[in-house]
Amino acid sequence: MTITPTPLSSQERREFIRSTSAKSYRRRAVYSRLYLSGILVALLIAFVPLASILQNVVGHGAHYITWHYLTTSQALPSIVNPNNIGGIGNALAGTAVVDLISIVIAIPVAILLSMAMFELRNRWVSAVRAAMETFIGLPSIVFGVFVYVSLVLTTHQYHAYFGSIALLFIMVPVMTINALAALESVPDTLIEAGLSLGLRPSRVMLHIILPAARARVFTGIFLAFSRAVGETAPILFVIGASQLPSLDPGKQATTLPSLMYNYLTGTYPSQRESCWGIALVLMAAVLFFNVLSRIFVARSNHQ
Amino acid sequence: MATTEFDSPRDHGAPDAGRERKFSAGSDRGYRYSLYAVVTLIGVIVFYFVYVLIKNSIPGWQFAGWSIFTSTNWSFGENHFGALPLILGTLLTTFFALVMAVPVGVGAALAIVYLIPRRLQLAVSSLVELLAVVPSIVYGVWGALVMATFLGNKGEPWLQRLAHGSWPFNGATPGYGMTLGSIVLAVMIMPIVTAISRDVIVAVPRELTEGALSLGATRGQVIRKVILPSCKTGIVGAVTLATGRALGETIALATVLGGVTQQSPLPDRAFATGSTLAAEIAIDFGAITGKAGNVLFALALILMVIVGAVTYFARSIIRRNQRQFS
Repeated sequence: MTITPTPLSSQERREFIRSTSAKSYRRRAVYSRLYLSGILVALLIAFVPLASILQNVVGHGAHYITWHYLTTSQALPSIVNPNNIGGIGNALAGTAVVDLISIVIAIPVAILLSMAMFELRNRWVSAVRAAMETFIGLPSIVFGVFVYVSLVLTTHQYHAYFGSIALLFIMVPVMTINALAALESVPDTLIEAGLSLGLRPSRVMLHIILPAARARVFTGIFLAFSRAVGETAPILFVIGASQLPSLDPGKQATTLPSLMYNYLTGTYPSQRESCWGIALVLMAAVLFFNVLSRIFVARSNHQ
Repeated sequence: MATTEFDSPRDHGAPDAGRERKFSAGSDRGYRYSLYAVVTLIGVIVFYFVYVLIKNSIPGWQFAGWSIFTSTNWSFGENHFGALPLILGTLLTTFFALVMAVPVGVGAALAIVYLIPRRLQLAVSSLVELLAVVPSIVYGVWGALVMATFLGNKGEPWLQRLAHGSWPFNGATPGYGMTLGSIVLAVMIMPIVTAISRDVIVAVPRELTEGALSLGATRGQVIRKVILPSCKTGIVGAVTLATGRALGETIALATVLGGVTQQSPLPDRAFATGSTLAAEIAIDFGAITGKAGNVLFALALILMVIVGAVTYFARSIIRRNQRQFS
């Protein structure tokens, strides 16, 4: 004869479940609520300072954005005329020259370098790769210090293109490591299909790997460029200053960030206030490249 | 596996796969040589960079002596080179910025992925990504023109009243100083932490979270016991990147820290003024003359060693975690 447990009535069963799991559930639900409200509070806290920055940049900066401000050169305020700050035309021209030269050199160098790191595997190449990864994390001011001592101190001159060289140290590592990740994300089957057709490795790279990786390579380029546009520390000491708009890379230049730093440390309140205008222009530029890169990536993926 | 120079790292296929990709008859020699040329050129530049920095810092070390690590007397104009206040300033501002930014940044990333309506998600995460690439000088302008006044007039006196004037909230409340520096850094690195953490959290496989939910876990438990552990490596990576940025930040801090004073050089109070290595290099660069300039190279080297050590430490954490999980 076997002993069968007395079956619980449905009411008893419900009571049993309620007394065990429900108790734990209630406690767990309370903790869950706490967690979720915690991360919601984190989101709100995160948005307070960022909203304050956006509000100030747009609120204080928007009225600066006039044709006059964007095209005339900076002026020096004086005690007689303390609000005479002119515009940012010279800084826009300087930024265009410094950044354009830099990016024109950086793109081919970075793509070639990432191709080399993808194709060649030996100690020397992985040492260079490790160096590039380290350069991404280095404080940007050390590149400014380097260019200052190796170029400015030896030539005793300031040139706009010295700034471009300093920016290369920021851009090339970021672009290279991103492009390398893009190349490595191309499926092996594609590469092997090309090789099995008897294509040379250079053809495989040019006609299969690079086109397949195009979107991600360009994302890296835009990312590096939007970092370089706002870099102040590495170019501050090597490009000198220019009150006049000039597109000559051999002359001295003022860029948007360097003008902003001068104004921020300037003596007149009108100069400090003008920082908001420059900040708005810089943020608009970054936003522009961000949107451009998204459109480009979307279109590449579509194809 | 036959190893050739053209092996891809994931090429673990047939033993002959590598050999077939080798360049036999010099058909592609030009391609390979030009790639070698590029790598060599960049490698030489990297070596030259390191050589220049070290060579130029040697007179600086000799000029400043060992007291650069121990003395608290920093006055660039008068040739007093005790960099201890700068080293402490660098470490403290970064540490407190991380304390503020990491929980908030990771929490915000979790909220973006799991709490806010899907329609808003794209807008909010694009905004965060944009803020992550906003030039740091914009954060500096905000700190110097908005936050400094707020802290000086309201924030710091309020904290002082709350703490009844006890340490570390004692003394003068100028607005400028270590507190402002930490806040500016925190606000600057928060979008970086959030943007990268969000990418990592989105990538958690749905099966994991759904499995936990179906076993009766609450949403809070899923976040704590499933999502955060599986994102640990990625979040450590995000924090590493943010730490590097914070340690090396120059321009955003150059105008908000107030400078090292002779009376109380060490940043031993929350409202103390001070400076960091990177900011001090930028501030003193205009006055470079002779051997004093070389001291700035020594500062740059100290900064690079600190950044390198932090990055190496974080990498080893990541590597250990990856080994555990794989």
